[in-house]
Amino acid sequence: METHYQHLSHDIVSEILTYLPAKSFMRFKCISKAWNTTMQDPNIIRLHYARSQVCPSASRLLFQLNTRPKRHWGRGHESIDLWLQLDYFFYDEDMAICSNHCNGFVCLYSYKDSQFYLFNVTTREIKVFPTYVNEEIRITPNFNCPFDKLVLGFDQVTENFKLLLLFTRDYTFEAKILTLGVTNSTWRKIDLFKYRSISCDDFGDECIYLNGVVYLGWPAHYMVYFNFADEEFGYVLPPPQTYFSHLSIMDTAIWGKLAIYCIKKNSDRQYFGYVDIKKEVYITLEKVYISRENLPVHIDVIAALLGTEKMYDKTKKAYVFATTSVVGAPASMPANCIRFTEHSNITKRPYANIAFVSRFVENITPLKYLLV
Amino acid sequence: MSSSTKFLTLKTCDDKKFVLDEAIAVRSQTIKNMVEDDCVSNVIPLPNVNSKTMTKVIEYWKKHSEEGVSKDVLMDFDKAFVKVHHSILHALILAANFLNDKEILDMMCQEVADRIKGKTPEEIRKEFDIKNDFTPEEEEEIRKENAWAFE
Repeated sequence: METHYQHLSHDIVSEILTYLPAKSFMRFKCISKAWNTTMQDPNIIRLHYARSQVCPSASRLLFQLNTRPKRHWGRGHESIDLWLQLDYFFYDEDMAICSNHCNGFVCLYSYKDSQFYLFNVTTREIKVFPTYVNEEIRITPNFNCPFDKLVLGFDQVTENFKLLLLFTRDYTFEAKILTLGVTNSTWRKIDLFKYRSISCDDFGDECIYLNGVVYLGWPAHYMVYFNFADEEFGYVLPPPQTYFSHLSIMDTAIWGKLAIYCIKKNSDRQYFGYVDIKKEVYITLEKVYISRENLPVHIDVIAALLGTEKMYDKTKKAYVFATTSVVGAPASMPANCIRFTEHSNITKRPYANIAFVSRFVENITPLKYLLV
Repeated sequence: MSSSTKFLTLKTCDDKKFVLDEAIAVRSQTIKNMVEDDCVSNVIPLPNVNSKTMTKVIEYWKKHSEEGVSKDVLMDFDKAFVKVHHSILHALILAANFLNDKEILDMMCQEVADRIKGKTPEEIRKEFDIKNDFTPEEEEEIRKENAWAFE
């Protein structure tokens, strides 16, 4: 090994670092004190994120998986082999996911100390929320509880992460919001008077964050969303003569657009399209009409995981995050029918099913800049 | 070329002279500033750039100044352009920095990042001639914090 790049100025070295993939970036922190300091410079981090936005390999899918104990699986006739190279990892078993995914960040709840934490999937850094944030959150991470919700979002105008808390007190619905990463931030109550028609029943179990907006639920005739920039709630309506059937989480993640199935009234034809939130119109994609009979609900998509012994040695249920590059992902996958397995052991397959999937761009921002 | 074409003479550190259309040479912000400030006499000295490197830079400038050249052609050209020996890559970075040509500098920095991304910290220290000034404990601490990045 020779020396190739001696006498490069600090500015040039910084410039080079902004082009590194997140993993190399984190690994090179131990090169020297000077490099380590440069790598914590907010300007370098911001530039790195800007470069990642336009680098295809920095776009990744984040899978939230639930593992099951070892179990036997026969291979069905409809199986499709899908080889996804997953980087997977665990978090503490005493922790539960308690928010949506937002740009590769999620909130976790610890049963040990009853505190809420922020987790950066890219750097795998985890940090407890400051006391003034933690004291305010009263929700328990109960997935079956339809009311109290912790929602993480990103305001694309001010480029700040925000926490939205939705909860009920004495049968009334309340909401408050907190901007992360700014000093002396306080919870602001959102005036819900003008949203008299919104009720807790409008919120689904899952919420999807996408491009500055979080979609909170999709009853048949409208969908409630919250915009993190103007901090306003709003509705999306289905196209005329149709109602919302369901939302494809996988397609939404792959396209970066909200993908919804619609059903035409008095018909079982399903329309497949996406919502352009800016124009508040529903755009039907050309030539993609899926009739109900042809929906691929019985297809297993087998995604091979390499070296997953550790994951399946667990006897109890565990939550796992896994990421894969968007570059190698297929153009469309039927949601909710993907089963993960070891490729080495076809007949004795334990499995992990997808609880959720989202898309994010590698972001190396240290959590100390968000939790002040 | 129109009759108003002005030419500049650039002189590299090894005393080679390059005569170049001013419109092309001002891709270098450094040269552009000199021209605008009217401090160009006969010859512009480039004390930090050798003729071999300058030839490459001019090759890039000319290709990117051609009229009617398609995006695809330029992309192929750029792809081939960065596939050079480490020593030339290093010289091109220093030259682009001195000439203040952000386009070439960005492209070269990206190429260096692509070449070093899979390497170990030890290899990087050697490549960049960097002394490890962490104590073993400090280094271990950072490695532990980012253990996944070393897998």
